[in-house]
Amino acid sequence: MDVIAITLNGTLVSGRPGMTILELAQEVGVKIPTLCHDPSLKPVGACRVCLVEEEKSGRLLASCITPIAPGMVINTESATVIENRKIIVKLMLASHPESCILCEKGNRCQLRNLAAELGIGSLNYYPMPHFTGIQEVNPFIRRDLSKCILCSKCIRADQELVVVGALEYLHRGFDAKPATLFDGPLEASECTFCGTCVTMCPTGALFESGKPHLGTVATRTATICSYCGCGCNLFLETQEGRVVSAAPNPASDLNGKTLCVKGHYGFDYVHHPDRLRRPMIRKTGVLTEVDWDEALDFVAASLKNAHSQGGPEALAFLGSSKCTNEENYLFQKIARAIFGTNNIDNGARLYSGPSLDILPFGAMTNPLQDLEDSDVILVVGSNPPASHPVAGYRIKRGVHLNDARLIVIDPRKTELVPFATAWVPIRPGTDGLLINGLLRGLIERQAWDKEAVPESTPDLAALRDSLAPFDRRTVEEVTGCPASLFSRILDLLAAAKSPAIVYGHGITHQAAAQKTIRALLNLALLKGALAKRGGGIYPLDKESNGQGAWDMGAMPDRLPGYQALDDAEAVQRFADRWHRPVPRRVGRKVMQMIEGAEGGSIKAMYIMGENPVRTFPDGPRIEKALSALDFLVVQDLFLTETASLAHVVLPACSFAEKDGTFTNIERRVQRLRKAVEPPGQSRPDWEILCELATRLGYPMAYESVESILEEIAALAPSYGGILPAGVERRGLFWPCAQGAAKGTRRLSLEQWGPERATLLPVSMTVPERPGDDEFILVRGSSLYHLLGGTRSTRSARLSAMKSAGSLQMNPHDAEALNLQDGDSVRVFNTSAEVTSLLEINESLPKGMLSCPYFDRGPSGLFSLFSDRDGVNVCRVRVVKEN
Amino acid sequence: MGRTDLQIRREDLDAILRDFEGKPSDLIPVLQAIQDQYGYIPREFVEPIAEGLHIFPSQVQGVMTFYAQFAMTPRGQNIVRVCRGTACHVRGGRGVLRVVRKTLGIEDGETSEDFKFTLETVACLGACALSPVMVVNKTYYGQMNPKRIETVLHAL
Repeated sequence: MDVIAITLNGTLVSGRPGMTILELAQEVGVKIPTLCHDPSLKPVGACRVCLVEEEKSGRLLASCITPIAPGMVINTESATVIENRKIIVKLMLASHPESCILCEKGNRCQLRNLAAELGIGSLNYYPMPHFTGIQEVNPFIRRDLSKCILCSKCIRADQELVVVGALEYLHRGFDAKPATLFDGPLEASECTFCGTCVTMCPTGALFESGKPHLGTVATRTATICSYCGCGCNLFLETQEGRVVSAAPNPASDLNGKTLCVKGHYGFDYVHHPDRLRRPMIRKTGVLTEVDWDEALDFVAASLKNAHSQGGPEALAFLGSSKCTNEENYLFQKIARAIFGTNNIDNGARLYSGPSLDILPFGAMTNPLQDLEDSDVILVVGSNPPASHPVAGYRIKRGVHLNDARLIVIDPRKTELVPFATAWVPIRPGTDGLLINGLLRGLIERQAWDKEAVPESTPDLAALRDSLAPFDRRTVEEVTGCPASLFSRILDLLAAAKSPAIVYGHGITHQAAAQKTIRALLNLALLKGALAKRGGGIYPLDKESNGQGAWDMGAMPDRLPGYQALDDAEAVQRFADRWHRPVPRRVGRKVMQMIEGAEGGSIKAMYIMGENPVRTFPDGPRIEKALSALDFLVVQDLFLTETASLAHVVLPACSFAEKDGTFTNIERRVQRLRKAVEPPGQSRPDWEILCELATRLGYPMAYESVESILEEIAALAPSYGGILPAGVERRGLFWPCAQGAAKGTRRLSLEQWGPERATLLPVSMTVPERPGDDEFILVRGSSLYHLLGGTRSTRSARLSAMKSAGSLQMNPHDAEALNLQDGDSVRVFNTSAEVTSLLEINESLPKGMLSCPYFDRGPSGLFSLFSDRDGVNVCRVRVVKEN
Repeated sequence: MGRTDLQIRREDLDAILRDFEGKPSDLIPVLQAIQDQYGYIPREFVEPIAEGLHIFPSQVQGVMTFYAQFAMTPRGQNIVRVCRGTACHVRGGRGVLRVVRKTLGIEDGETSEDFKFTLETVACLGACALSPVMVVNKTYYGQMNPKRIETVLHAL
């Protein structure tokens, strides 16, 4: 490789072609101050404080944008450099207001630090601060643009990192400022309040709203976000035992300097006054605070009682997609080793169960970062900018910066549609038919990856034959995808070298979820998209530790590490380690647990960190079923809708108050760290479980979460090499075999097992179309609340932004029904009848309605079991409320 | 150019966009074409332009407000630009501006109520030899004095 030698501060150093002076200086440890530079953004050379002197020519160069050239003689500290740097900083200070004392940025202000370093005391310039501030009303971000130094970091972060486009310079010269379209407040713009601009701002021009502590914090703890399955790395900044702010932790390549609004500003539920502080037992019908001994003894006795009366099958355990791996592991261990039942499941069942049925381990095959390297990204039934924002950033970056082609298949005009080359506003529930049609088209055109799937493969012939009914005309008629659009998409897929396939709840909630995911898998196999950079399948369907809950065996048919109950060798290994026999009979999924509670075959249930009454469809049915139990114990942060039905409520710790590991949707196992002390007497779930097991006559004497992770590594081969010391340093991808140096970022086909890694014909049925006055109603993700919103609705800031549920409807439908935005409407079907407020939403197609998950109201309209339309999808009629 | 009864028609924009390839680099020529037709860039067009050229609406606004040539509000049939550069200043540019303001009854940056005139000042028109200079639409008028100003403006 070419080497370019330059003289830097009198020393001969060498760099690579294309490097800037600043990059080389940083590499060899020479410090040059910067304000507008950030390694994650394209350099612009706006602030000029990084100027250096080229001694041969005497020119001053902005080192962040000047490439090195052979023979350059650079001085970063010459008298001219210092003099000019001082002038630049003084000029910035001259247009800056004198409000440092009250500034949120405090000692982290880079301008103030730079001035201090340069020893600038007085300015000698006429101060000309110009106030251009806007009074924002949003609960997250404030702008005081009089402190803006025009570094454009906010604009570049907005356009390059999160690709939202809310900000750009307005006007020029002295009037220039970063502004929204038509210079309105942020809340009237495209802004998603991810706060990346606030993180990037070198001064106090952008700052966090409603922060309980100004200035520098005492401590910051590196941990993992508690919301969606992206599992972003963040710092919790704490002061006097409280979390005062969150900031992205750029140490990981997962989220770099970005977060979303929930991760950045939604942590405040941790300090909500309604947090449970003491255990409670229902005494004469009323939940009464008791001490831990009494509560745990009562739980142990009641569970033992149910076990002795009804046998192991009378108990059911619901683990949590929000609790740590260690906690889910102990939870299933209690179910299996102590009570001898496989009646264990977790809350991710309804959202990601179908992925688990079809994909190996229900997991993503590739890291999210790969989305930026795809040439074609196919997004089906998913709105990542709302459900998994950091995955959304990757997709948009792929399109915006790397020129990937984006195909969106979704009835809704999602936030990705403006970035799409092609958008199919597909008829709800027909995605699988379209995919089969595309598969047929690709085979007809001979446009599959013949290296991955040789022409002679028998599976290919079988697939080809099975696709006969999916001709273009039929597909057009059924899915509503016009022939021209179909051809366009086929062209894109035919040309794709490493297509990425992304899907979400729009697919997993369909009646044909498994079939559709299988068709998508066929597409990935046919295009040879697996096990390669930029390709892969990306299910966006899980919460913070949804993947980990599955991995830990919080499911009725697999042991930790997806080991089958009929794998005698594995079962023996568990039995040896646990000193108890392992039940072999497949247990109940959560839906069957509810049925069992209704029918009386389930007598007692233990729910850890889940709120099915609120989060699951048909809340009223679940409420009734749980109320019929002889004994219900709920372990949670709040007195949730589910906890308020319990006989015993155990106060647990939030993510900020405990240690452990989470496994994100990429299969990356990451360390959660305790940042603050728990409120009242609440305890981490794992400690509660250990105490309880001991009282049940099965001592669990784990000293720390680390020793639990060691046990998991010893028993689950895919976690074999995931040990506390490794996870302490950085996230590790499983499978990671014992003794392996590193994990597996991309799953190879061998790791899939033969039945999943081969083409498989899938038949499809055409869903029955709704009647003339019927609508398809779906529960949808929202940016400000995660699923049922048990935690996010208790974040003061997220709730201030959005707290009321609504029924969203296309404007044409509203007009036809003579309805207006804000009208009160009655929504009904054979199951239930509810009242809601109408909200006009132009992104919905005609005939489709949407309500957010966090709104408990419409829950009764949906069926707990996937029926004709699926789960969280139903048919309703709407009339105006009189 | 600039009329009071101007209709903002989306079809006009679509016709203009059809002449281009939908690339971000088409932005300035597209804005110029719109301004040629309407005399300014209607606010309603910002988002459709962005969609057509695959850029963010805020970026369209950024370019529009960066260049002095683009107007965001309706302008008069005649654009009068008075030079306020150094050469014109020493030869009475300030006086020229005063007379123009008085004659047209509008201030710098304003448009007359009948949309006949828009008055602008420019830092330098690059015709210092003719100073003081004023430009009406695309015609340069040099060595201005109050009488010549009135003659030029009344002829319009």
